[in-house]
Amino acid sequence: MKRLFVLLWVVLPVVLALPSPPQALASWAGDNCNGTHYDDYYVKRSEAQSYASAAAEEGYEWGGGCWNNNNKDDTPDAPDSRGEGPDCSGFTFKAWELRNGFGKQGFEKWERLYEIHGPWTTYDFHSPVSDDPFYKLADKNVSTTIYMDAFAKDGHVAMIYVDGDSPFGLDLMIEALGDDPGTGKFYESYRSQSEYVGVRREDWTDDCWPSCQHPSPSVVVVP
Amino acid sequence: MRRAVVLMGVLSMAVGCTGSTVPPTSSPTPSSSARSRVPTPTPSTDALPALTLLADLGDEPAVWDRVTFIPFGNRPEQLGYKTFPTGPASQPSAFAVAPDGSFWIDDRWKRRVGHYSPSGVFLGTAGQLEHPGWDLAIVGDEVFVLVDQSSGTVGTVEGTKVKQAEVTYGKDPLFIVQLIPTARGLVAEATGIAGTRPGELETFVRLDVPSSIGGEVLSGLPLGRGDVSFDAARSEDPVHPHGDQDFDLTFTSPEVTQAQPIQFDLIVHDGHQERSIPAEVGLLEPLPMGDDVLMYVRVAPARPDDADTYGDGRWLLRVGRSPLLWERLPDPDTTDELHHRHVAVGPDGAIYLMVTKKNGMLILRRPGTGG
Repeated sequence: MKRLFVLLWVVLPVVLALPSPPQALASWAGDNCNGTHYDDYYVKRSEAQSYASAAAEEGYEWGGGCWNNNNKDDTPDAPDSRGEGPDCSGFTFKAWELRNGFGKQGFEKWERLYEIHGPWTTYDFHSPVSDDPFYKLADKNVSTTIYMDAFAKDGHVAMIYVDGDSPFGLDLMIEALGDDPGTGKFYESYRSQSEYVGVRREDWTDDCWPSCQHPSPSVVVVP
Repeated sequence: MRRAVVLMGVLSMAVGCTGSTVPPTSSPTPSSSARSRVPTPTPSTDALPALTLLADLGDEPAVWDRVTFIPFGNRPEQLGYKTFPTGPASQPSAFAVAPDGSFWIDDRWKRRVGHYSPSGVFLGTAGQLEHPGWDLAIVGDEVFVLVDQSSGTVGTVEGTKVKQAEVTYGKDPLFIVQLIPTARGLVAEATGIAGTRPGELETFVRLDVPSSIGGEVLSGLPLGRGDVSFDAARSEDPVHPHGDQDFDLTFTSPEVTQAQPIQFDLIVHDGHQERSIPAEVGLLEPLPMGDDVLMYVRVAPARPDDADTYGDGRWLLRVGRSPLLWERLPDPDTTDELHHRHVAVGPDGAIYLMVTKKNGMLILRRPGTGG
């Protein structure tokens, strides 16, 4: 029920904000978001990282999920106008190639210019349920998290952009941070903030695929 | 608090000496053949005994003196603040204290820096910034603003204007995490440049703003007169295998490197029982203060259930030549992820703290000269 409520909280304003067809052409999304989507397989973290990276500098839009790749916010100072950019949960939804529905497994590629937010809110990322294609990590240790895992709280979600030792307590995150900072890579201290939990998308394909060096079958010597 | 006092003396002895402050020998010139034959001394390494600091969530924050409170609002003297349906709240992101005791505040939502007298009287602003600012530093009489991290945009306050330059290193923008005032001038904690250790993400780079060319890559954060450098790394042999709470601090002078292992224990209370739980420790905002370094330390449980139950805390750590300082700091009234610079050093050696309150920013001063 809470999920439904939160879903309404995110989607309803977007739906209500949808203008009538003639006016839709006046919005940035109406004019530009002509992408498509399709089933995807063997999706790697590195691909998700690359996809997310292209959204940097492309703005932020609450409830949004559509952007191009020209390295600038095409709708600056125009919040909640179907402008360019994702919000934090929509950004994670698209970068993780989640399917558009609770309980749906597998991957779906959403092109940058396909406008979609997805059904998950920050609350859902922070508190996954059993049929979600992502789960809460047991801890937030540096040795536990892997790049493109997320840190989520009820109110924000951000993805770890790179692995690495950051002695002064910061992680390089990629996130849709807000109307003013926009979407991009930012150093954050989410790891040492109790509101944030670590979250992992399920079923990534190893980055080495299809050239992974599988160990040789063990030789069994029969006496 | 009681435990911290006990530990102060220990660390005072342990890291009280950070090596000679004799300036490093200058590089030999080609003509000085006599000098060039002198072998470069290799600093010896002193490994100091490990120290354990207790981050006890049952401790009360230390009481600091109130300096001033600057409210949020639309008036020129007030600070910008914004909340969003999702995403972190946006409050002023940083502050610094000038040699005359006045304050500069990075008023990110109004895209400006605000200037206030030592008692909090509004003196004016400088701007407009191209982006919401991230950090502030004052070196001498110059006020610098980190305008944008990824493009390395650094601003210099000139009257009511902020002259902005994009700093590069090689051919690329220098990704600047934060700005740090040091005895060697303005230093950036930056990324994208190989650090001194494998896997290290960030390193320290000297800046010569307004020059847009990134300067020398430093071996650490300069302390003292600039001849001692400080760095930190996660321990390779952690005592706490289930958390990130063990570090090696290094203080390097031309003569000696002192390695100080430091461990943090997160203590929680269940009724009358107290216990240590795995923790994530962030040694944030390193800031030179004479021969010492200040750090704003965040400590949170590593496991989500513990985090829900116990929350987290913030502490001030001063380590170096002076006696150790480790005390709990007040929590903000609201989330403050975008508040990047909580601690500043004043001209009298006092330590200042900026805390996000519900209706504005509170400036506090730690009692006593020299912190």
